[in-house]
Amino acid sequence: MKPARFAYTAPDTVEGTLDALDRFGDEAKVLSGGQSLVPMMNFRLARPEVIVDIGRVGGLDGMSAANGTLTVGARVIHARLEAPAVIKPDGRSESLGGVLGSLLPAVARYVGHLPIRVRGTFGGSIAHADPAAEWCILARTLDAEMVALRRGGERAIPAADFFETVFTTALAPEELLVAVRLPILGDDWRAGFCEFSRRAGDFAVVAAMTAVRLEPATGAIAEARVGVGGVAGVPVRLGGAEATLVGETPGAELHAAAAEMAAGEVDPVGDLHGSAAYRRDLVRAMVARALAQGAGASG
Amino acid sequence: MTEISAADVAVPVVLRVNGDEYRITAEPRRTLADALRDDCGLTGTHLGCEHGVCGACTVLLDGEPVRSCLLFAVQAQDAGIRTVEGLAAADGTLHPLQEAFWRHHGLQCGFCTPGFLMLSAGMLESCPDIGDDELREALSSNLCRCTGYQTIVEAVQSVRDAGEA
Repeated sequence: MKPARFAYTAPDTVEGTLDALDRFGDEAKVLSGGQSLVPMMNFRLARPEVIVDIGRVGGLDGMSAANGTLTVGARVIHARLEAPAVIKPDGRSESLGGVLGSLLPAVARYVGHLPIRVRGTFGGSIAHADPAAEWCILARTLDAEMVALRRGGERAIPAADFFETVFTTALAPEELLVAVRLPILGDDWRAGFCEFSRRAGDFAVVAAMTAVRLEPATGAIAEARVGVGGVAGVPVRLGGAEATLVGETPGAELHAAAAEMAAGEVDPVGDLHGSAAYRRDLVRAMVARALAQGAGASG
Repeated sequence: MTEISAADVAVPVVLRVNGDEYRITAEPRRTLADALRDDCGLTGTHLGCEHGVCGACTVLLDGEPVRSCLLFAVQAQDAGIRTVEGLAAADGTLHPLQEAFWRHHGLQCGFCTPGFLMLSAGMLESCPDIGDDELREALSSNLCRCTGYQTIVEAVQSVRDAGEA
């Protein structure tokens, strides 16, 4: 229950961090809020040789909105997403409105507990890539882009390519996740999130996020996104459920049909938190509730 | 190049706890919880699960309640730390939260109490008018195996209602 020995460095710049990652390669592990990494180290499930602590690196905790995109710095703590605010070009802080501005707090309240939310970071959760983590489900469902820096280069990795398997991402050992870009959903979007866990603050057994864009003239669904976590090694998108929704008008019957489709297209593995059949039932219920929440009805 | 601390060498760390300065040496892997207990001699902070679930080790770091088992002492350098030893006045007068836990039977064995006190102190200081639902949700961060929680909730509510924290 004590971590194995590790060498430690706490650079105060992004450049210093990239130098350290370049030097130590896969011996190094980035420490941000430490709310997932340190428990794994205490259990000795993780035994990094070198810890690169980015807690003193400036410039990674900003949130800004431009051209329909919200850029969330990797070191933004979960608690800040309970009341998301962006810095305007004139330096003033303004709370983020709109559909994404309502969705982020609704999701943030499911992330761990208060003491976890004031230390743990958005980017840390994304880079940790727990398949049931709320932010990973959000990133996958909204087609977020992960911005990764390495010495002498930057790339944006789409969520579809970023999450590879449990706790494994497309980030190279010498790369640092510095920000995540999320689409600011316009007023024609409806989004919902629903999660089931056995105790408040636990990781989800199953969680679902839905986002649909409505045709202003007809009210029919023009575009649909259905993402779930807790059923595979990565958060997944459910194309069948999405196809069921497109072209139709939101309503209880349509939501039930999409949820049924969702339950049929997942292939969960049972574990001590729930059998495969139980998880499949949860997918049906969580997708239906997320859709109902998005449509403004009670679940 | 930023300085690297070797794994097996204890490095000097300055911890500011309850207004006092503790100059200790600690290996990088030393958690803040262990440093407080073993290096600073402040054994009021308890260690239960050591993986961030039980909350017995909760302390305030720059005013925010955090799990001291999930933080390395080297990370807490330069921060203001408060532990349960800092709650009561120098003359031994109990902090209103300690008084309320006593009055409402918010403890039995007392193992979880330092964590609950620091969690509650951080919560009420940043949000003195916290609603009942939010208060319960915040208190669900920590585990207690004796009380059934109701008396802890009542104790914290009484301090909130009196505006004492």
